Amino acid sequence: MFAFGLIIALGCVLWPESNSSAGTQPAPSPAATGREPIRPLPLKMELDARKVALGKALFHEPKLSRDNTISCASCHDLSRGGTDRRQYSLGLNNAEGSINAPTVFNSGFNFRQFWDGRAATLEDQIDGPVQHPAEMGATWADVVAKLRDTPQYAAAFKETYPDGVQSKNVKDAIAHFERSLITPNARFDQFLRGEQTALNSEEREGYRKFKQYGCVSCHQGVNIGGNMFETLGAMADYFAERGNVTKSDYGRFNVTGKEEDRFAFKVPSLRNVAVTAPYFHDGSAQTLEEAVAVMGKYQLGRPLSPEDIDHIAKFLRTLTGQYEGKPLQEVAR
Amino acid sequence: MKLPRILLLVCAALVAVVILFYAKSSHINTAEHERFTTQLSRLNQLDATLSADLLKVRFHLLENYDTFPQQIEEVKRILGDLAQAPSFVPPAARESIRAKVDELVRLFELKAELLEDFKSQNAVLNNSVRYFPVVAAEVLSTARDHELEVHAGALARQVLTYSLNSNDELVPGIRASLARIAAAKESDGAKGLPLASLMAHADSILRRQPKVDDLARQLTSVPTGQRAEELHRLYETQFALAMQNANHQRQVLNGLCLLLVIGIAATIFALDKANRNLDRRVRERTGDLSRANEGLRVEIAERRRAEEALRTKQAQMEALQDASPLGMFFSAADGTCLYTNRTFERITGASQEQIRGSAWRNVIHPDDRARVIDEWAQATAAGRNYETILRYLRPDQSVVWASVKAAVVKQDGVVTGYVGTADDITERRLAEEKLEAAHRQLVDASRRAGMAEVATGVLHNVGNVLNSVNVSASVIAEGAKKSKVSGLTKATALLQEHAGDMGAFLANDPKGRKLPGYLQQLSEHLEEEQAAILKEVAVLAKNIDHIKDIVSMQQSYAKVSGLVEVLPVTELVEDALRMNATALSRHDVQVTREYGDIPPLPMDKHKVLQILVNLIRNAKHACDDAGRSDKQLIVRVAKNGNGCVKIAVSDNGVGIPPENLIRIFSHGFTTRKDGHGFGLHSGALAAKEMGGSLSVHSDGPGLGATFTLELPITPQAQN
Repeated sequence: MFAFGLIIALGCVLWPESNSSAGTQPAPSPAATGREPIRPLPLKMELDARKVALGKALFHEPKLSRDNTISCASCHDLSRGGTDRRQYSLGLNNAEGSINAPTVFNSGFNFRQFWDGRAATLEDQIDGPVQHPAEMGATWADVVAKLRDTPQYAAAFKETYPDGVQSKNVKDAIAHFERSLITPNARFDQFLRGEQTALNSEEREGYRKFKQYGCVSCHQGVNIGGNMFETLGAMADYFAERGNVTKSDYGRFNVTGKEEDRFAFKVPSLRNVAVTAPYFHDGSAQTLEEAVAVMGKYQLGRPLSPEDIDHIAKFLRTLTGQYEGKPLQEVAR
Repeated sequence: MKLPRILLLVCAALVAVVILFYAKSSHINTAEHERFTTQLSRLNQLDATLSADLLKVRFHLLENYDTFPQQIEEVKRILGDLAQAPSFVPPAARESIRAKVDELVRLFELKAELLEDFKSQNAVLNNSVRYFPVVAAEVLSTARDHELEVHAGALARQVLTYSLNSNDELVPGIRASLARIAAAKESDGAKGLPLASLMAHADSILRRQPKVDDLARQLTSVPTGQRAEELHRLYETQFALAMQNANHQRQVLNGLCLLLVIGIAATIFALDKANRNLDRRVRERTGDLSRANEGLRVEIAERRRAEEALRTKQAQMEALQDASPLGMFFSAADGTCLYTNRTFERITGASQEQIRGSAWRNVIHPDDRARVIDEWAQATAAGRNYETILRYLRPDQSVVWASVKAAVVKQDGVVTGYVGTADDITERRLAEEKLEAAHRQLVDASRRAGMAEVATGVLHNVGNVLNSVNVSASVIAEGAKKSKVSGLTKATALLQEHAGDMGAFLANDPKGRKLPGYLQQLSEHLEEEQAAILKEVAVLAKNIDHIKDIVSMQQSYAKVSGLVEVLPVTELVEDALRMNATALSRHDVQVTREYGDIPPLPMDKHKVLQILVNLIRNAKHACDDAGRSDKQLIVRVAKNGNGCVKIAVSDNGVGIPPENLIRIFSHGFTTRKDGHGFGLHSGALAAKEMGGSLSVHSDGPGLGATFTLELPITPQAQN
């Protein structure tokens, strides 16, 4: 018995290649084969429900700010299209920031975070507002201590993460929640999925012009933007005409230091654009029409006709999706 | 066992060598290898896809950039993975692999950077390319100046052509067209805005397309593929080396293993041999053991049986003790009662509690109590057994007689206590009383029986004598009846008549004359008569004497002491014969005497006489009953060899059947109708009394019998 076992054991040692297993090939990334430059949002995200729930609580948790007054939701109000609908957000002591808060909806589909794309992931992004002196002004040590002192968080973290309340877990949970903030089933997505009647003729005309006028060169992909950087004022000098240039206006340059990146910003997603006014990094455009006009002027290099603007704006309004089955609230006009 | 041990040691050494060798050798982890090569090929695949997507985007086959961030992310992840070379790669090679991966990381970072630039530039170019035909159409449709229209049309054609193939040769022409339009534009203010846009986008295309193309070239020329290929080759070399190494090691291990297998085989054979040997011994031993076991089992079974028996016995003992008719008790050495069985309780009518300890005293009848307590105290003090009969007084006031016995229990010579029994003898006592009464009755009865026996004997003997007396009396009576006395009376009366003339009468009278003669004759007769009577009276007197003797003998029986006289035996025999003479003579029994020379013996005359009379009479009867004519009776007197005198009375009568020989001396045994069954019985008893014996011999019925009385020459002391 012993001898037999030994021979078997030696056999396994000496002829290991006989024991090899076929490695599973990772599935190839889905090829973007559609002829349309825009793709519909997925209807559902597969996420850890416990992390999403915890992230949701944390997202609305003022303890993440130094003086317990500001939560993520303060500036990314889910009932307001994931924004505060202000030009610049208010931080601690109502200190006004220097840049417009982008919507948190569908932020998981952005290839980078922030206007200047300085954060590669949602998790990294959270460090920014939490620690920014003018935003939530907190330190992770404080935040973690406060959360640990809160029994429900201590328990919920213990349940979800083996190491309990940790800054990385806070970020992970919030990022999970943010990835759950998708707004599928926009009328335009229905149109993309083959329902021609989902858009009326004006809207379809708007989409045609959106493509013809080159808007789609930057605002493409599943998030209709959010996957590249582009200089604001490609065909005309936006900042020269606006004036009062601040550091925030340098955009991507603040990250790379490259001169060609000055005034370059992450192309914002146009999803739910109708409910996320004001527009641009400087919150300068109050309406869609205004924004479309600015884009025509500086990115296309010539003012668009009111008809074009109207059509395009009408198309843009078809991009408003549903969160948890309900259409996002549109800004009153 | 020596050989296997050496083999085992060799095997152990071999195993140790194999393990050491194996530990020293490098292991090819196939999973690691799999992972590394998979990631490498995935990297190449991604790189290729990235380049392909890039070209698709450039030529508008792909119109979104969603794939690029995903690809870049995945490449980063894979490079992070590849930084960890499989563990079988030697450290130096690991370093070069790492360096190669780092280089790839840098190259992909560059690629990502170029890609972002490409995306931005391409977007703007695309923007212009998309919008240029729109604005061109607008310009052309609204152109009023033919020259401008021609130039604009030329520009549109040139720009669109250029946008399709990036032919640098077209650039001067475009520039020329642009210059011409710029000149013409001065004269056409109305078309300023669309025309300016047309020119701006043409210029944009002209400027950005080379840039985009350059960026695409740069992107595709980033040597990620080469580096990846180098990395692959580097790794393959290492893998091949490792495989070669492993092959060598495997060969060596194979050799070692072969040795090991041989060793193991040898060990197995040796072990098998040893095992068989062991097996045999085990079998033997098992046999022994099973036998022993069997024995043990039997023993156990027996023991169990014994224990069961013991238990049963104990139970039986207890039951027995309880069921025992004997009351039982155990006492301590000091006499306090420790245990009593139920019978004891039953006997005394008291419960254990009323008996144990010193309470037992109270159950004893007050009349016996003090005595028993005192005696028991003495017995226990001395360590003696104790035995008494006492009475218990039961609670119901009934009295129980008990025989109590207590025996000392000694252990190693020390009195440890007493075991006692109490026997309820109340009934026995009653029985004894009854028995005593019965005994008394029996004694009385036997006394009466004895008296009867004696009386019978006496009467028998007296009767025998009375016969003779009767005969004598008859003889006398007859003699008296036939007496001539009446003649005398007549003579006297005659004389009385003739008292006066006495003489005359005597002389004259014929009667008177005959009278003197008559008187003579008469007196003679009377004398004769007198003699006969006297003779008969003498016999009578003798017989009456005998009766007197019998009676006095009977009295001596009663006193258990006989009168012992020294007498000649033959004389006694003659007496006996004489006492039966009449009967013998009457029945014509021929008596033969064969007397030896016997000195006088001390003896109880009457006893002997009585025996002999009986024997002679019996003999006469036997002869009578036989009905034969030659009735013979032989009396022999002789000395026996053993210091005895033998008196044998033989007859030729009916004889005795053998079955009667043994019972012939029993009391009440008789064969005669008028017999008492006493004579021989009393004779045997009397012979015994005198230290002698009475025996019988007969050859059978009709052959006669001989009764022999033996008497000791020196008499025994009589009790």
